[in-house]
Amino acid sequence: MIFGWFNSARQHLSEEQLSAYVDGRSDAPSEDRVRQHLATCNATCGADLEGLRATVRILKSIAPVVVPRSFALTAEMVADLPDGKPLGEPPAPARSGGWRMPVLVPAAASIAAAMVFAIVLVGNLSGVIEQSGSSSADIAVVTTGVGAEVGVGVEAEAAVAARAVEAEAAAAPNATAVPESAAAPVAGDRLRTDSAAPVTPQIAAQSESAFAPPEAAPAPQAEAPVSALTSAPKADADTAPLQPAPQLESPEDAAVDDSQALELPQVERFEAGVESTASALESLPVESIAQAVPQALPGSQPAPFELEDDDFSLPVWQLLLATGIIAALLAGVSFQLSRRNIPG
Amino acid sequence: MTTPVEETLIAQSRAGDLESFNALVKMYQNQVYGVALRMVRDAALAEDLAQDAFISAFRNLNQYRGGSFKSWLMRIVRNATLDSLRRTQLRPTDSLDENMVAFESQLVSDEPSPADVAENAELGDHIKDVMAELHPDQKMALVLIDIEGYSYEDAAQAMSVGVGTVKSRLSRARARMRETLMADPELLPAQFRQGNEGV
Repeated sequence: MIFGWFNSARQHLSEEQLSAYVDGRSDAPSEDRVRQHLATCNATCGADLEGLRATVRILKSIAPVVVPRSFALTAEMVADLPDGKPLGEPPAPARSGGWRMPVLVPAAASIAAAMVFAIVLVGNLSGVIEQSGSSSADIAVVTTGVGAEVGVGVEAEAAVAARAVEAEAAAAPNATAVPESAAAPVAGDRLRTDSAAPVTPQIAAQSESAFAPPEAAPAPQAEAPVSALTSAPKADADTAPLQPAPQLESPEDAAVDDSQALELPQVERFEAGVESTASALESLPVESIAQAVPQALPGSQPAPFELEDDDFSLPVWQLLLATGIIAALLAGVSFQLSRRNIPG
Repeated sequence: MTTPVEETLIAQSRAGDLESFNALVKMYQNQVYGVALRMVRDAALAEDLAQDAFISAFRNLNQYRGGSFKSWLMRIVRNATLDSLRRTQLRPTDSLDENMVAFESQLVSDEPSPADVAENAELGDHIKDVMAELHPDQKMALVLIDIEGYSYEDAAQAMSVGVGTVKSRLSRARARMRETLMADPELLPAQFRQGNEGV
């Protein structure tokens, strides 16, 4: 304590101490310390003080400005004000301390706006990922021979679809490649709309790259359902009651699990959808399907799909960071605007 | 602090009485124009800023919450001048020399000699140069307290900061001004040269 006082007494005076001392606005302890230091300091503090006093005297001696004209207001200057309307009662006195409403309101509004923006952003991104995720999952349905959704718990639907289409293929020799091509949109639409939409050549063309035979399915594709489960919100109301089945290592495993899949309650509805789809396929000319999906014909081996786990992961931390930055920026701008908006 | 006369004029002005408000204008137009002129260093621009400040004050009189009317009014001027300075930085003018304000000291004798006048003008130029280099916030503190004679508290209200901040800004501005003036003591009036030599 004493040592600290001794040190502070030996330190030279700051500009702020000198300035306040010149104006007589030093605190009592500070003023005593300034006096003690000036009495003992042989350095520049005394000269600085005198120079500061002289400077202040010069500044205070500057001649006042003479206005070049009167700034009295005329009626024309305030003509845009409501005629004869009083300017209103004074508002309630501002609270001492704390945040004022002009600061809180725009800040809260900007934060809310940022949150809405973030929600919209997340929603949009999720929608994009959902679309890409579902189409990829549909592709995986065919490349694995049974369906990527097998791991999600709807392997029964895909297996039934495959068997139904195989039956159709046996009945129609000209459509040897069609059954597998038809299985993709059927399974995919089943997951999305709970109704088997009629298969058109356009739909088949969209998934033409998925016409790899079951035996061509690479091992990594068996992991695709995991990604689909975490990223694509496809497990909607009709898939919710289904319990996720064990991960299948190959299409053969899916075929083995047919008996288990047939016990699921959705099978009947799905079979109806498959039947309607098969009937729709029968009505289509085989030539048009073959023309739309030339790669599905025997002999063509499209490159298998390679799905990575990172393909469908949401950058949550990036969204949160962006949201925070946007909220902070908006709050700062609102704060500045609210301060500038207060003329008094 | 607002005087009872000011309070009466303010109340009447709030009711739309332009004459009452013009009485307030007459009371403060020297200060308003003077601060604007010291800040922007352009007489024509200072006129516009002062006029706009009074119009803005009349329109926003219902936002005056009591306290020092002078400080409330000066806050409007400060905001207007700072906005103007920002715009000027973005769009520098060619030359404002003919409109620049001269900081003429009144320390010369009643019958100044030509030498006194020349010295005074040179001192004014020095002060003007230092003012131009100061940060606007520091310059505002210097103008309000040392030139316009505001108290620390009134200046703090006018600048929307605390008294401690005003002290800090003022001390920096004064130190900068002292360095320039004391570096060339020949420019100082005689009494300051003697006093400086005594130190």
